[in-house]
Amino acid sequence: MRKALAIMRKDLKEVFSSRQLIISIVVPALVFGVILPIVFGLSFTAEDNSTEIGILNQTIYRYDGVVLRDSSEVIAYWMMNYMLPILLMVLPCGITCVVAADSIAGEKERKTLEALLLMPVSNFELFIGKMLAPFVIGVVIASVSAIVSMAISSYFSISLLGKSFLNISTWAITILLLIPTVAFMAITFSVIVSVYAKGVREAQQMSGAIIVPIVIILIASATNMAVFAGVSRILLALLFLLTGLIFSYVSSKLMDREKLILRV
Amino acid sequence: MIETFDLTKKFDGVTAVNEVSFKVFKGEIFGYLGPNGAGKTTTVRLLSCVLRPTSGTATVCGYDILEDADKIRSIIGVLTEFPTLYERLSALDNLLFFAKLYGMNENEARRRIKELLEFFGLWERRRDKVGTFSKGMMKKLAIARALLHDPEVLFLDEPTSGLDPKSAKEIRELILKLSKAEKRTIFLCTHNLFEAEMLCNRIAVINEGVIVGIGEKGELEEKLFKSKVIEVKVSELDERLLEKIREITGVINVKVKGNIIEITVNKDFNLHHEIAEKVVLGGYKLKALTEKRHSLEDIYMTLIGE
Ligand SMILES: Nc1ncnc2c1ncn2[C@@H]1O[C@H](COP(=O)(O)OP(=O)(O)O)[C@@H](O)[C@H]1O
Ligand SMILES: [Mg+2]
Repeated sequence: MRKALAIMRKDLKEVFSSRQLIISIVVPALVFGVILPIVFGLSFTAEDNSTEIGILNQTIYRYDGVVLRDSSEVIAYWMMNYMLPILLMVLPCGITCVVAADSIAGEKERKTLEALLLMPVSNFELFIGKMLAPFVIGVVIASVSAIVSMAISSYFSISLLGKSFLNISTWAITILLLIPTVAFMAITFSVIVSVYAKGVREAQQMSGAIIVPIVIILIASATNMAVFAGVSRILLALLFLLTGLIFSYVSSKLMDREKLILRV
Repeated sequence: MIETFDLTKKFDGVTAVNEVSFKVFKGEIFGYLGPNGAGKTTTVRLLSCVLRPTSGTATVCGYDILEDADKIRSIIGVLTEFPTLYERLSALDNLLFFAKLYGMNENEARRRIKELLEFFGLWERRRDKVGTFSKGMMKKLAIARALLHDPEVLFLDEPTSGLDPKSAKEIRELILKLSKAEKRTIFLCTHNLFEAEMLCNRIAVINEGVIVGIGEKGELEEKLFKSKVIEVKVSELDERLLEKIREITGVINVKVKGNIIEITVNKDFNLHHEIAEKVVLGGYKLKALTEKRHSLEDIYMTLIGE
């Protein structure tokens, strides 16, 4: 495992010495972790419930056991605890794919992979080592963005609606289960893609496509659509984990020294 | 140190290496010569266990390439044909990374890296990104990497290709130094005949995946050519002298270039003495008599059928 960690550290160093890569990590993190919660937050508007008519019109809504007094609170609650975390899943997926494309397909394209394949490192260590850096970066950046976006939307919720509608347990599941499993699924998929892709760009485009089904599944579950109606986030995380395991089984069959060299 | 047994590698449609068998002895520089596409790089990749042979096998330091791949990788060093260093990292970071993969501990690695970078004249540039290095410096750094773990066999795949003459000369001198001072076994792929002649103890010539000749240069010359050329330099000459020389048994052809007589003789005859006698006894003044050796180029071109 020492060698797998050495590969991870080397990959991390390489990623952070490329300005282009840093930009393609930081920009989406800012968009989804900062700008999006601000835009959502600004749209929170309080309905005036203080008048007599307001009180008469008042209906009680329940969402995840939380009591909400009017439609604007429902919208705020929905945005903060459903839309935002779903859209945030673009990060563990996209960032992982971008970093993986550089560190796997990129090494192939720049021919440095041959040197790595000449080292006395087992296929398993190589396989794990190459998955670590993209996974770690994807998970860390997505989690930090998630925490920042929680803080920002709480701030708007408190200042515009008078109280925070942030559902902590939903967010905890998102950060602790969804982000790592989505990143896991993205990295294992990227490994398969990088065996076939000729270069970084091609690998990015092919592996980035995995975002689409992930976001569709998440939206379907949040809006009670089709088979995903009522499926909890814990079950979804399990689904992503399982898919990732299947992908890693497939890629462990594909990842062999000869194949990686031949397709250069 | 290296022995191959009918080593064969087919890529769909192309037989890159075809039933190749040779031996490389301990401590020698073995030249592996051939035109582009001959199968040199493929042979190195087979011996360094990056590719699996289609059939046949080989041993490196007694280990089988099919069974002991990891062991072999840990005792050989390879300079790949194309640069394979991380350009975004410094020279030091590159070497530290590979040292870790060779299982060296930090202190051991740092000591060895300092030694190598000083030997290759790169110590001052150790913190610079490899992307800023010249091609010659990159080759040196790549050779340093191949030597990190003090390998028993060093594979060098076209170590001077693409380098300017001065860097190429430096690299050649380094290779000679490595061989002389450290008695390393070196497997050198090249299509540069001058380099092979200067560095190699024995050579194999490979063409279209097949070994067409192997041995010391003298042996190859011996095997390949039925005749040799003796050059006689005289102060003056005439037709009578040439006639006398033609009469000697074993002489195949006589040509004149200025005051030099080029005599092609059957290589099984030793005619130096007889020729000298004819000149001197005929009253001519003999200035020089030398046997012209076939150049490696002649040998190579004959072997690859040009
Ligand atoms: N990965 C590969 N896939 C298909 N053909 C290959 C591959 N590598 C080499 N070849 C073919 O094998 C032959 C030998 O190539 P190579 O060993 O690189 O020659 P050299 O190093 O002597 O120039 C060439 O015809 C080349 O096209
Ligand atoms: Mg080659």
